[in-house]
Amino acid sequence: MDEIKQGRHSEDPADLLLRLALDIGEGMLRNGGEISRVEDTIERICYAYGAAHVEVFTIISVIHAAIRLKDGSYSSQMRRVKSTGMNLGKLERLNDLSRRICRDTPDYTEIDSQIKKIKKGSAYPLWAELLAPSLAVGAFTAFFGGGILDVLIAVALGLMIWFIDNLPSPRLNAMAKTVVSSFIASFIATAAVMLGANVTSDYIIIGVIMLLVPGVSFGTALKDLLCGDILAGTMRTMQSCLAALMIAFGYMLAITVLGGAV
Amino acid sequence: MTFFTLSFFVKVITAAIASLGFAMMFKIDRRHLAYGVFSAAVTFIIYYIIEFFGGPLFVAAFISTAFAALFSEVMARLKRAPAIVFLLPGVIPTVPGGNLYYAMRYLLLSDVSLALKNFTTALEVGLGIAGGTVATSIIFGMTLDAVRSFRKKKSCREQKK
Repeated sequence: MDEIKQGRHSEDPADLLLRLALDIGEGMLRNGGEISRVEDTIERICYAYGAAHVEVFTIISVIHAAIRLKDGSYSSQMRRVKSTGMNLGKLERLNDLSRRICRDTPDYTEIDSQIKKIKKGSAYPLWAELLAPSLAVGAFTAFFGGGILDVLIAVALGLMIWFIDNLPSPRLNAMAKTVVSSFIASFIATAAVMLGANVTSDYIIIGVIMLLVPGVSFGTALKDLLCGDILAGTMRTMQSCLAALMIAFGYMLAITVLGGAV
Repeated sequence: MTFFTLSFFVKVITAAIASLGFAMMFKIDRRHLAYGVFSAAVTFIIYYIIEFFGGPLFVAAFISTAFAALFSEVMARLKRAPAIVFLLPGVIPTVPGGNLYYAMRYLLLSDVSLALKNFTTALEVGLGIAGGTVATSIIFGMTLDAVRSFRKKKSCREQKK
């Protein structure tokens, strides 16, 4: 009766085990975990709880896994991961959790509550989240040769990009966000020069663009390819090439609207 | 030594701050931030020195990020955290964002040769970063596996005795 209330009456042991393993794997993929880590984690957890056979297939937006327990019961489930971001703090905590699961094999309810706790927790307060892009953009503007005024404008633009990135609109997908961010940054930086401000638009735009450049995802793409995850690697390469194109598109749009580079 | 100029120090410090900003954007746990920033500074100094003495940018990117990867693998074992937590902040200052921007800009100004030159530089550095990090992690992992299996065999033999 208790199990029916929790909504678990129809789940047999194989289903339940795979669901928990997938919860952790999905969390890792969602927060920036590598393909190999996700597959490895799901396999390890299932074997730790006595699975006889585990198959996991992961690409950047889908996890598909099948397990067979020693008593012959079988389960196959799929997860679609639509949004991925970077939250390495959560990734690390999920990694710790999976390590502990494999070592101590705690009961399922405890794992469930731990996963929920990790999902809810946020490591950074708002001021730190605002400080992060300001530091990154400001420092890169100075790194590439910008002066004080350049840095100040770049920081303002960096905060704007953070705001665009955190808009709750699901229609504005990652590609559209990149175009809009690149457009606004290029437009304001170039317009400032045209209005006679004593700044160099190059340095400002480079600093801001460093936030958008798909350097990390290009690196991960090559890593996936070189490690043999050809499918995931190809998809990620395509993704980062598209992001780079979108940056160029936004920049060129802004320059064209303003009537030529300065 | 002429490369210890003011601009060198400015670059090292700004690279470290930028890497801190990125580490915070990736929401890396506060306990690990300092190691990533340290790695970024050292990685950039290696990159800068090789570039200063006329080394090809591919080699500069390869060797400097190989250090970042080695550092991240060692820290990952010491701190029991995924290596990526220490790797990403370390390689951030070598990402060729500047070259990509200039490639875009010269393309817009119809200066194809300069655009192509900047683009190939960006590609060269990008491949150097990927090669340096991947090669190091794989070699590190293989070495660790070899050491482990050697130890296992040894303990098995001792048990048999």
